[in-house]
Amino acid sequence: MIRGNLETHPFSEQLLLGWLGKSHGVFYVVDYLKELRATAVLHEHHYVDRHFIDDFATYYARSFNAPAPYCRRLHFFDGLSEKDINDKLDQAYCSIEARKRVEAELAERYLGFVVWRPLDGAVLGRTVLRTYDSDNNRRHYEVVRDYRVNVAGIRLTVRGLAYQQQDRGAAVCASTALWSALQQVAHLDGHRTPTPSAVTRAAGSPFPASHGLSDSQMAVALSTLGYVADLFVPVAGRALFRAQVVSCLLSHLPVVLLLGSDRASDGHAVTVTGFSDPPSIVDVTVSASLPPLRMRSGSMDVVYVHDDNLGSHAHYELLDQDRVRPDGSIEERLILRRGRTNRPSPPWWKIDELPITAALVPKPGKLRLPISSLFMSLLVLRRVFDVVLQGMPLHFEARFDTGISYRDSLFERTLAGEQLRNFHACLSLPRHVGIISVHHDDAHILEVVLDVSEVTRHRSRPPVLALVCPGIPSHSRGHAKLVALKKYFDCLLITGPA
Amino acid sequence: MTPESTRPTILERVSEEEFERLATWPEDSILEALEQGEADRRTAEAEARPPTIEANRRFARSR
Repeated sequence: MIRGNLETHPFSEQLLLGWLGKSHGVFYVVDYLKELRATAVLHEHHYVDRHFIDDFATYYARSFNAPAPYCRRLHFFDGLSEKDINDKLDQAYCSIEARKRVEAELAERYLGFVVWRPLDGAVLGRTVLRTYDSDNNRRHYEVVRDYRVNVAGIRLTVRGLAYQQQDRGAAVCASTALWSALQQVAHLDGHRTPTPSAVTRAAGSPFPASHGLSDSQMAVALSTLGYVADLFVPVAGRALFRAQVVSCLLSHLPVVLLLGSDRASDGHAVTVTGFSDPPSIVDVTVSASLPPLRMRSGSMDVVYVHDDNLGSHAHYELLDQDRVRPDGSIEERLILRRGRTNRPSPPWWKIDELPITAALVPKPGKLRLPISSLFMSLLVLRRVFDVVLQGMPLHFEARFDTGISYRDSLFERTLAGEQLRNFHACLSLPRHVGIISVHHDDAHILEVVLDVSEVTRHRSRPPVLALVCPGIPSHSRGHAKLVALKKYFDCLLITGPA
Repeated sequence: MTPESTRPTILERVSEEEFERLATWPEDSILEALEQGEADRRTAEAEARPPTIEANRRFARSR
């Protein structure tokens, strides 16, 4: 049904392939929406996308055969028929209350949107789709945010992270991966998200965008746009690399994986947005001459990836692969398998395997310490907790958080209620904090809250702000020892109930 | 919740006197652990190499 700028349709594969054409990206979006059980499409015929219009002004406007400067936008819903949507729209404009009611009803069924660009072969512009469900907390989509969507005076919200297909004119994979990553980091830092062209410009490359960017140009782009770049490599240890990726994701920071190739000279860049629950607790070696850390994140083997060659939140796998160098030595490589092995690959996608050369992590400007600094703090504190919690085999995780978000999370913990009000009243946190969490089997024992606003100068005393110990009962032996530790660190302490 | 019979001793309730005794200042073993942890950190920092990756690789793959 068509009314003005809006048109509604039942969802169908044929409809979308007919509109958008056949490409890996379109096949992927169609399959993804089928998994989300899409039932209806709302088609906005005229939509001006800030990101496309900047690419248009920068690049496409000066083409001999310039495309239109505007896009279309497709909105998807589950559990609603074409008629349901039209009926709701008919009701929405009767009163403020009716509008609010319809917005709430549509929002519940809203799966997200695809900006349909007027670019042959790269029709998928800014695309934000709801993630799959968490499958009992197995899937961790940590790098997502809310997007507010305005369509014909109706306001909807979708939680996801913007993806777009590589257009090869204004941006290739390096800029696109950073663009997706900055959708999250700019939001965390309270900034407007940069457009793909702005990311490419910020890199300062003397070559056209189609040439791509080097790793250092990608880092320069981040710095120019006001962010901090963190970099770590799998050569330092594959389990450590996996654990560092999880640490970044748990910090809600996207990880741009830089990928090499055994066959081609150019590389590829993709953005990791989440991971599947790591299967086991493993040794993570930070230094060959020290006992390893025990961490579940070190076994992480499935990541969810925004790949501008394929689609958003794609299930990819990590695997260790050893290769013999010409001199006979072994090169320990970490491979990103672009596809999944637990179900048949679709006929339109050939799975490939690319070696990971590095992880580039964009961070808010005030989060200046590298993720590796948390692992250094963990090396100090694990010795302490091995003694304080003697007899309990421990494993650890590390992440950054914001002070505000961490305070919020305390309301979800089982903590001694009588201590909580005083704890909050006394606790003063910087904008960003480091969190070292200590676990025994599946039990969450405690967290150490660290000041990460600057480098540690007082070497003999980690900058501990608080010990939050939901797994230590009040008035227990452990509590007493932690009181002693609190005095040493001059920090706050809260335990679980007695 | 850990059943009482299998609960590690560290999680057991202690008397007020025992609590006060343990809570006065970290035992020598904890202070030694802190020193050991700091030594670990220095070792790891000394061994750490700045991350380097292949120079001049362009990230521009399409498919």
